[in-house]
Amino acid sequence: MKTAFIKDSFKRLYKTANRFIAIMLITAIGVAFFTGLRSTAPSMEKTLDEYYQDHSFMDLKVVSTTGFSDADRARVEELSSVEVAELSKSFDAIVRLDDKSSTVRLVSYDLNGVNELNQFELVNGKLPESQNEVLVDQVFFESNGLSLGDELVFASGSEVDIGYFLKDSSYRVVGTVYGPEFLMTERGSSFLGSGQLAGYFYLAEDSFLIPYSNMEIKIADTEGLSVFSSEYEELVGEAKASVEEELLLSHAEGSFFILDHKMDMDFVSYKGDGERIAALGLVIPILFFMIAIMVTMTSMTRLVDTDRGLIGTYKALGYGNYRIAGYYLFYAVVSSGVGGVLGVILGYSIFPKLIIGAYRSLYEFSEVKVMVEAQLVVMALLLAVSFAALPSFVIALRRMRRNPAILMRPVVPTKGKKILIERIGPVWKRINFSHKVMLRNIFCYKKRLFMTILGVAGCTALIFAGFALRDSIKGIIDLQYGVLQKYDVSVDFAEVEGQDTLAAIYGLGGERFLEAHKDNLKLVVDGEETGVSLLAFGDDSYGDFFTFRDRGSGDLLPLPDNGVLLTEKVVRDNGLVVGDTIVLKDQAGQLFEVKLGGVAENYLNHFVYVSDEAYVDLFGEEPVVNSVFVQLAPGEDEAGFIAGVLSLEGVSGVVSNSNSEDSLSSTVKTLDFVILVLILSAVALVFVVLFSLTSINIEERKRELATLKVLGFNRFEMISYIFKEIFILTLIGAVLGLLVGLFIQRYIISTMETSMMMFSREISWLSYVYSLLLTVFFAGVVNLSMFRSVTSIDMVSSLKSIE
Amino acid sequence: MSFIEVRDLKKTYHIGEVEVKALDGVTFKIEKGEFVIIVGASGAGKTTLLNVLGGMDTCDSGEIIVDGKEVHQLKPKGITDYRRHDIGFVFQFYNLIPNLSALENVELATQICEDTFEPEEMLYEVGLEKRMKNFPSQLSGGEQQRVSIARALAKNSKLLLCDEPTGALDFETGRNILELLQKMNKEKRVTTILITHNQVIEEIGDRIIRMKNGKVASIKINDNQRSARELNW
Repeated sequence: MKTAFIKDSFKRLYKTANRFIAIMLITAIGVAFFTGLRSTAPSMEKTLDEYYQDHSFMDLKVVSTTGFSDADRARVEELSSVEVAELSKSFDAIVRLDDKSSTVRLVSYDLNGVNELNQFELVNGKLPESQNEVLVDQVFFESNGLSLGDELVFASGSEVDIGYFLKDSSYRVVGTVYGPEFLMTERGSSFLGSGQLAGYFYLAEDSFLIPYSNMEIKIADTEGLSVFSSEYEELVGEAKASVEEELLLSHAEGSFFILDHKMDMDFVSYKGDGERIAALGLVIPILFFMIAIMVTMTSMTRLVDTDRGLIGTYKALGYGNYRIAGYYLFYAVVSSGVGGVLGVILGYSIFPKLIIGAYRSLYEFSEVKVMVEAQLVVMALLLAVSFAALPSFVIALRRMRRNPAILMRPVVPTKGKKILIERIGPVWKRINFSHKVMLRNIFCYKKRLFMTILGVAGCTALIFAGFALRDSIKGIIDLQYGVLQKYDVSVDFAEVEGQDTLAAIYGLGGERFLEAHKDNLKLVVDGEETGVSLLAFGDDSYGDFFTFRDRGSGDLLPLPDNGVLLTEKVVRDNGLVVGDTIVLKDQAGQLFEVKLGGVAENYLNHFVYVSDEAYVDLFGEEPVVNSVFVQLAPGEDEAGFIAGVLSLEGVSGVVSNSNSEDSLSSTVKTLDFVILVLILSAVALVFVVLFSLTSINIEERKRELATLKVLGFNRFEMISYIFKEIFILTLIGAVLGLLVGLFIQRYIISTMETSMMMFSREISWLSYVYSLLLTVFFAGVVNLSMFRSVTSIDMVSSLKSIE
Repeated sequence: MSFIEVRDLKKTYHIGEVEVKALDGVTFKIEKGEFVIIVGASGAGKTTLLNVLGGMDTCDSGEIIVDGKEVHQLKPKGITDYRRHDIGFVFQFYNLIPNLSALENVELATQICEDTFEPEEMLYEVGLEKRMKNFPSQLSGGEQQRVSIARALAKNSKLLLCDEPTGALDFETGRNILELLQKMNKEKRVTTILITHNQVIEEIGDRIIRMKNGKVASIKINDNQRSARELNW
């Protein structure tokens, strides 16, 4: 075999190890982002599917105001499209703890029988053995600092006594669970109390005094189907129809509602999140791939050019073009191949867990499952390698087609050209000579210039996107609690004897108060319902507690005369416009039409704001005060105040803004980590790109630099000859990167907002400064490390070789 | 004291285990304004000698004194200054900056020195008044070499060193270049050292130093200095 050639090939590869590693690294980064981001959405789907499967999650849920009997259940289970049907009881109640009162959902659990569907996962403690024991959901347990053995007391939150619903009012916590029915840690809305469900609890079925209100159904033939698939949807549709037909035989129309996944807000928002991440996975990797390809092609081209003489020699010896070019093909394939494999490993191990993990603060999973699709891996590797290998091979072949003699002779000097500015005589004359040289250099190596700018811009863009994201998320907290809702505590209480309750609250403390009427309603748009809290105010004093303003202009919005204000997110998500007539539904199911008079800036939860007069027009009755917002005196004991309020009889809900603020801050911390990864990738990117491009630049101009050295240029002059241009290009790239970063951030925000939360669009000027500084710093470090290679050029060897 | 004194100059290259004695005790003197030809076969050590004289390489031992300056003692900064102010170099392969015009290439050299000649004037002198704005790729080999010479001369340095300046050129053009060098040497009285392996060229020199195996084989003062025009090789 041609062993000499092979020996030489490996030696050459070893000598150019730096280049090899650079190509490997940049390919790894590109592929990591590509596979990582693209596998996240499928991983989300897989995680949910397996979670549902492991817990035998239901496919349909039927809710009835008239209740179900076991006979009903049996009949439904007989249907061919139904596999299992179960009954359960549930209702919403209030639980009082030391520092707050929360609205929770109580769900029945069959102590003796087998609960086949909606199996929860026991995290701590044990299953209830007697009727006075309760299981608490893990999130509620943790965030309220409960312990096993605590006694919880439930209240009805209305005029009706809890004893109407439950045998006892007090239960002991014996264990904690994760339950599949409540996916989101935002538990959704309730008609009761504060309007926000804070947790769910499992109690023995026998504790409930109400009839079965729910039927959970698992439909047949769904083995192996993803809940996101269309086949599944079809089966659900069919089953739904046959269940409805069956139930109509025993229940009046309108007395029951069949819910499937599409109506489950948790599922819908999860699906939406997955789709949005998939969108992200389309765009960002392209940026990386582009840069990776750019750098690889430049490096390989340079490699071929460096070997000019050697190639000529091989040709002269009679080696064929394809064999000689084969070395470069091999080089490119191996470096990008190894890099690609590395990238796949990195991508799959970092991204899905990271992104889903960030979402975990919003969703409840015990474990994230990563979906590895062979298809994606193969595609990524093929793309990476072919984009590196094929151009290299083609370029090498092309360069080789000249005859050996030409290859072995010195290179024809690159064509010098007049640049545009030169033509403007008076301007050109004024320019200092060294600047003239710099401008010439910039314009004569246009391709290199373009790539340097692109590489730097990409880096700045990522860093900036990271910082800007952080600002947006932090901004929510600052804006929501600092500007839009300026109160410490809100208290909801029963309308009956409301004035007495109010007087009692005033007696407990607090500095300023705002009285209001509150209703927990649902906004209905095209069949989809969203929980909203309606607040009605009597006079303008609400201005000290609430700021209703248009986000774009900052103009304050007055409460409209014959309409309502709605908060921004719910308006945007439903495509509403000022002037539209919207439909609100109350607990009893009654519908009310009202005009949308304005859109208020808001970041958490959804609100409807209305004046007392407009309320009367809308609902046909006077609003009764059942809610008060409290501003405490500076230094006042909030916990003590809340404890006192909770002890009052009529009080049904207490929310502390500072508690909400805290839980939001922990979400911010999770996302901080995502941002750190972004910034680190950006740094890796700029390092590899600048290092590759600059070292190629220097290598190509070795002769030029050696000549300068002979002419007597000192270190500083040599460095500025090369690096002045690079510095200017870096600045241009960085500024450009800010622009690109802005786009990326906007895009990410719009894709990552959850159904409850809107991200602030304000970006601090510091973020701009930090991004620029960091980029320039890292670019500077790379360049600095290359100074030596410029100043230590050996004149003798650089100038004596003929190429 | 002669203008240039070289005493027992030694330089050895270590390539792996092999030792190459490029300069094995070189000694000679050169007077101011002389046109010196150093001639010898390939590997004789002429290029190494020129490189060391020009501050592009260091010697292992020996002395080089140029106009009283002890070049062998110079530290890196001093060497850079030496190259900057005291030396003009003409290469075999011109080494012009490709994206600077002929004029700019000369300016590049004069920008960093004081008391230089006008770049435009130098280009006139070498006969390139019409080609000043052209780029190297637009010039012929001979024209490029002229630019290189103009660049070296414009510096108004003490010493002009030429490394096989006609090596890449055809006979006619090469002869013209040698004529030019001779003319500049006479008019500007800049001490010129030219190395070549072509013995025919040695006739145009004032002093001819022959090198062999890293040593000076002979030094001849040329009484019959010929004009380059008369050469034929």
